[in-house]
Amino acid sequence: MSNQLQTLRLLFFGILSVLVTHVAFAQNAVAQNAVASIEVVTVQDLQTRIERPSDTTYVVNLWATWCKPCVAELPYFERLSKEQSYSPVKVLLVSVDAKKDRETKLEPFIAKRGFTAEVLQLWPVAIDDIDSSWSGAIPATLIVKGLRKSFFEKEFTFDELKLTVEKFIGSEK
Amino acid sequence: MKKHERTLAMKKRTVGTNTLRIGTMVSFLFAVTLGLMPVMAIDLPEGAKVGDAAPDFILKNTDDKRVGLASYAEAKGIILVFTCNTCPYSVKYENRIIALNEKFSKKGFPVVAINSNDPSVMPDDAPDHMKQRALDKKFTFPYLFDETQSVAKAYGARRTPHVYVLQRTPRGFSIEYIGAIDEDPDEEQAARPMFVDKAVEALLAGKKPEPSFTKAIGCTIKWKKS
Repeated sequence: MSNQLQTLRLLFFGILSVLVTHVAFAQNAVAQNAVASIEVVTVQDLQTRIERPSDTTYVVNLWATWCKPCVAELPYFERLSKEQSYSPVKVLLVSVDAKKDRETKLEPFIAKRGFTAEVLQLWPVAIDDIDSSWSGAIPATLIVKGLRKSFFEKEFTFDELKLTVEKFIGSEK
Repeated sequence: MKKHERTLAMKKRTVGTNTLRIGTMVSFLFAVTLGLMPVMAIDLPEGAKVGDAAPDFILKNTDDKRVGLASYAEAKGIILVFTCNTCPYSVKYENRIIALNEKFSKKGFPVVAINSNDPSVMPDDAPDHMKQRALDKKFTFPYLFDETQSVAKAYGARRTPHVYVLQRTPRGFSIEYIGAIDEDPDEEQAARPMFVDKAVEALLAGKKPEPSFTKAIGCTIKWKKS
């Protein structure tokens, strides 16, 4: 009886350890995938990408890993990128972290949080080229569709963000 | 990438029936026409520009004494720095702000630091914490609390750190430089352009700063929620 119990116990722990290893490996794989993909772009690269005739509204959030209010609102942008809208919205999380911090801070930060919205790193940070009204303070958010553009140097709640984007899309004639 | 985004867009369009989409549109337009949309952006005045008269102020220092432009009757100018305790960029620049005061107060351009952040948004920027920071870092200059945020608004300060170099004129102080201390927060380039340093040196030599306006990454000033 006690032998049978011991065998069962061994079997149980065996299965458990296999499961744990699998989960760990899977998580590792996800983390590694996410780490690999942060691209460094110039303002020109970014503009070529977003300022073109398109039915997509681009929501470009300018942030950095060291900026607490930025980090606090990132989940709202992530949520916006996932939510269905009556008009297509593409969220770009554009980091202004120092270039040297890409591998040591930015990529691990994104990998850890598992954001699915696209992350880019802006370098050099040509503040006036992003928007002449930008003082350089972050967080800041740029909304672009074709030639229309709105710039916000402020923090958002999710509701404010959603309304702002909807208002931007809705104001098109 | 372009292709991918377009297909994604197409997918989103086909999802959900037309009636639903029209419904959303109608209710959305309804909301717009009724003016139910809250005002999103905080409307900030543009503030002062290079060449303008420096807006006067009287604010409480960390020693509870009141300090204003009138406190500097003998100064040739003032290096006014909007900063705070909490912004990582302000922290990176703290030693450089101290060094500016070391170098230029004896030449007639002392530093005056102002914190305009709302402590209900950033508790660590409250006056008690400012006192502690001034003690810890042995600030040799006033660190003033702009409780109503009227000074930041009058100057048009938007971020921390944000510097205004003022010069005495026969009619009070005028603003001669607005912008960054330098553009190298991590002190990586030995030969980085020291904007504020150069601006004050120019003024001391009877010249105009060049450049007189720069921008740099920083933290937003934490405005009161209205």
